[in-house]
Amino acid sequence: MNENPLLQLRLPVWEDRCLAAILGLIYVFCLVLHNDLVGIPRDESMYLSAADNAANWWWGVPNSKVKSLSKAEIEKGFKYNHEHPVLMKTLFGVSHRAIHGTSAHPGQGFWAEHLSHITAYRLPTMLLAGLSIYLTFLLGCMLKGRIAGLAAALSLATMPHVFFHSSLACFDAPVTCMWLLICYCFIRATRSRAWAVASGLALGLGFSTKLNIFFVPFALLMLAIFECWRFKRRTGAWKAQEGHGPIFYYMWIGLCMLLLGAAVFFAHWPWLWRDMWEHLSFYVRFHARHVHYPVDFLGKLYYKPPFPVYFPFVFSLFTVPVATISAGAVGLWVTLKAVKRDFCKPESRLEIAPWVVLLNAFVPFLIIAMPHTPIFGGTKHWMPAMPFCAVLAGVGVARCCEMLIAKMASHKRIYALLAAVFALLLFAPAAYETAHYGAHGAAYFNALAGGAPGAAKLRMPRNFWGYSTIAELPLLNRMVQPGELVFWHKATRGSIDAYKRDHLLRGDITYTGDWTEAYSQWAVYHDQREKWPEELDIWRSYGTDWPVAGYFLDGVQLMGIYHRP
Amino acid sequence: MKIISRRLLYLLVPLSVLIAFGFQTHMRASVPSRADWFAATEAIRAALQPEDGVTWTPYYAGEGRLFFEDLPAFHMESPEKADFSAYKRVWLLGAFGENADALPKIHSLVERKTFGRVTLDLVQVGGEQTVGSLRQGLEKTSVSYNQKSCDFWDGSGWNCKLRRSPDQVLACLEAPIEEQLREFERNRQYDPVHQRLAPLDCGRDRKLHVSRDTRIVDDFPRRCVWIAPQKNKVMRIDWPEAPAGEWVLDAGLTDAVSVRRSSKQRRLTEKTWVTIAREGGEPQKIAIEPEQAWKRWRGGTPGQGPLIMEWTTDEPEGTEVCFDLTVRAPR
Repeated sequence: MNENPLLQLRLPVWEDRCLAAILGLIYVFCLVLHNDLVGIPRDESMYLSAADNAANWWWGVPNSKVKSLSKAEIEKGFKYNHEHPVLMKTLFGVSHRAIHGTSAHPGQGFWAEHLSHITAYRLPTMLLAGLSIYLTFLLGCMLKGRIAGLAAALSLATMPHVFFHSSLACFDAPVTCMWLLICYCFIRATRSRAWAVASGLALGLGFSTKLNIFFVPFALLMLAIFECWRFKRRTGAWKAQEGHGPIFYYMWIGLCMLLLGAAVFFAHWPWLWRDMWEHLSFYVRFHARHVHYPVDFLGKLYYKPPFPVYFPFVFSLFTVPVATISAGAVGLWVTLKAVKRDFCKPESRLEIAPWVVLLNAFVPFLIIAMPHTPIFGGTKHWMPAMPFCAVLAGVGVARCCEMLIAKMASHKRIYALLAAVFALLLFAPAAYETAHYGAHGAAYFNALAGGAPGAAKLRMPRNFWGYSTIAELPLLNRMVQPGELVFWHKATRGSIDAYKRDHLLRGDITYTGDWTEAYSQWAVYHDQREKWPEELDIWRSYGTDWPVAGYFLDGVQLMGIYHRP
Repeated sequence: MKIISRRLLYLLVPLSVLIAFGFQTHMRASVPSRADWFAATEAIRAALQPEDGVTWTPYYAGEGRLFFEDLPAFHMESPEKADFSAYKRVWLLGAFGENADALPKIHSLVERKTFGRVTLDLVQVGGEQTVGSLRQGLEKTSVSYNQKSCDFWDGSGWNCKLRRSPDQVLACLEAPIEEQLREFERNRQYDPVHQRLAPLDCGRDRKLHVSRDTRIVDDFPRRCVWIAPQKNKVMRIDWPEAPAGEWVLDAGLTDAVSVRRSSKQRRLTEKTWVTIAREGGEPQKIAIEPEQAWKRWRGGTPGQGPLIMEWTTDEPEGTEVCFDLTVRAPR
């Protein structure tokens, strides 16, 4: 029996699962409810087109049989945006098609009436974000009981940046979920062969979501080697005398991950079915030599490597709510102490869950901290660490409850109630900030940064690839005369068309294209430091430096609207 | 005792959240509303005098810009670096606790009003005054490139080389923007220096001109005269109506050329040169280093007569400079 309470793995019971599911569903409901307020960033607009192509292809398979497998058909379905695997794009497209049908056969019924086109595309991301809440709760439960689970789920749900990215038909929230799912399955698989199969499938789904998942097996392999070595040190043999030792389960996990992971990845992506090596090597090459976009960070515009090693750490310190940071610090301390004690007492079997949480709370940061990793995406690039940070915060909250509330509560139930209220109150300010920033979560900065004005003073980036356009659509609908030309800056034609399709933008308002400010009557400017010369291009063309309207959050500009005098 | 102190340690968690929440609430309470900015700018309009200027601080609190259209407003990087010499009085809009108190002491505060969360300071400008600006009087200068006159004025600058007749250039510039957009789409040309599709040039040379402009230099927009000095060539600007006084040159390479944004981009290593002289006077030679900076040079002694500038560079492929030449005199 392990003496350390943190290391006694507590498997979730049905009450835990119910509570986790309720929280996950509430999160999905909130995401769906506010989704029409969230703008479409550049990359998302491209994924929407790719999603339609992929969904059309899969839809065609049962009807056309062999024809869909032809090179021409596969290229039609998957050539566009082939730098990313297609699991999520397919789900986006299928979700949209299932709800809204096609232009020839428009969807009808409750969902088509109540969900916009863009929400229909984004639904799979939101469901996976809900799954992240569910799994975070369970992982918190496994480490330190239900209070830790509840606090972990609340912590993740009240991160404004995570909430924002969970609203998009992009890959960052899904890959965060996949990373978590793989780790959860891995923890369970250290005691079960069935879960080893699940972990293999989860890894395959992760590979099929986004490239970052390629780092997960290496991180988990380190843990597997560590536990096997520890077992050998304890027993003197690699294999267990009775039952199955860790090496048995890790062999299973390794085998399943290798075979099922590769099989799912290959099976999900018809683009690899022809010219596999060529397409695969392009995929790896594209990301290995990814272009560097500029990032404004603490008063300096970084255009190219080397980037500061502390970039993801400082950025997170300023963008994760203070409740998660302070409770997470306690949780980190408690967990570190527990694993240290565990490490120093080799006579008992290692409980892997705290190690997995600790390791995966840091690995995504470390990848981005490397000086040559592209950093332009900001927080979304190390978002897979956030559920694990939330679990640490959950452990911290549970520890605080033990120290601050346990003595006050005479009964177990009263203690649970008080602890739950404590957790809710602790994350209430973060929930308020998430609601306040809502559709502009990427612009959120916490009190350590001084809020949005403090972050602007520190020169931290607050806008993100043209998504904020949506905030000024009502104004443009009112002000722009029919036929007038509008320059949309970072917003793509795809996003403008999507706004029109959902009747958020008048159909007769034009899109002039990139760098066309000189040939427009109206110009939108998305505030991004590296794009400042483009605002000056507007000033030069329009003969005025002063916008006529704009979108401001806590007093700082996210967008400016210019009108040719 | 130890247990109590450890408990207190855990109290830090809810306490930190409470403090952070208090700070956010306080911060939000200090955010000016749009109505505050509007009221402040309306107050300026009511009392505006001909030689007044309008600006705001901190720069990121720019919501007041929405109401600047008919005001003599200008950009100010920070109160410490303020140059108010072009104005007699300056109206300074402040937010988030910033106001005229941080200005150099040569200026004096005349009055302070508050409009909600915006402070409006009227500042009496002290120190020297600008009596002439080459940027403002660019139409009244003459420009030559390698001794050839640049005599085509396109509305914002002098052009040295045209591929079309002046009438055709003017017709192109005055064409409806729908037509210009179509032309732009037909002739899409990427400009690697500015990393964008080049705007229509309508037959003008993209480098050989001297124009009134606003460019990012040292990470801030500068209202200036744009020029592209070339190696072994001299771009000369004659300012015949330069008033008497000491000349002051603010200049720097534009960030588009001084900041190396990718390893493919050429690294500038050579100096850019400008000589400035009053007609018949001793020329002063200034070196602009190949760096991201906005610097100031002064003539040293007051003088009179036309001012002549000659620009060249040692950079093999030329460079881009943004400068502001003014003449200053005691107030």
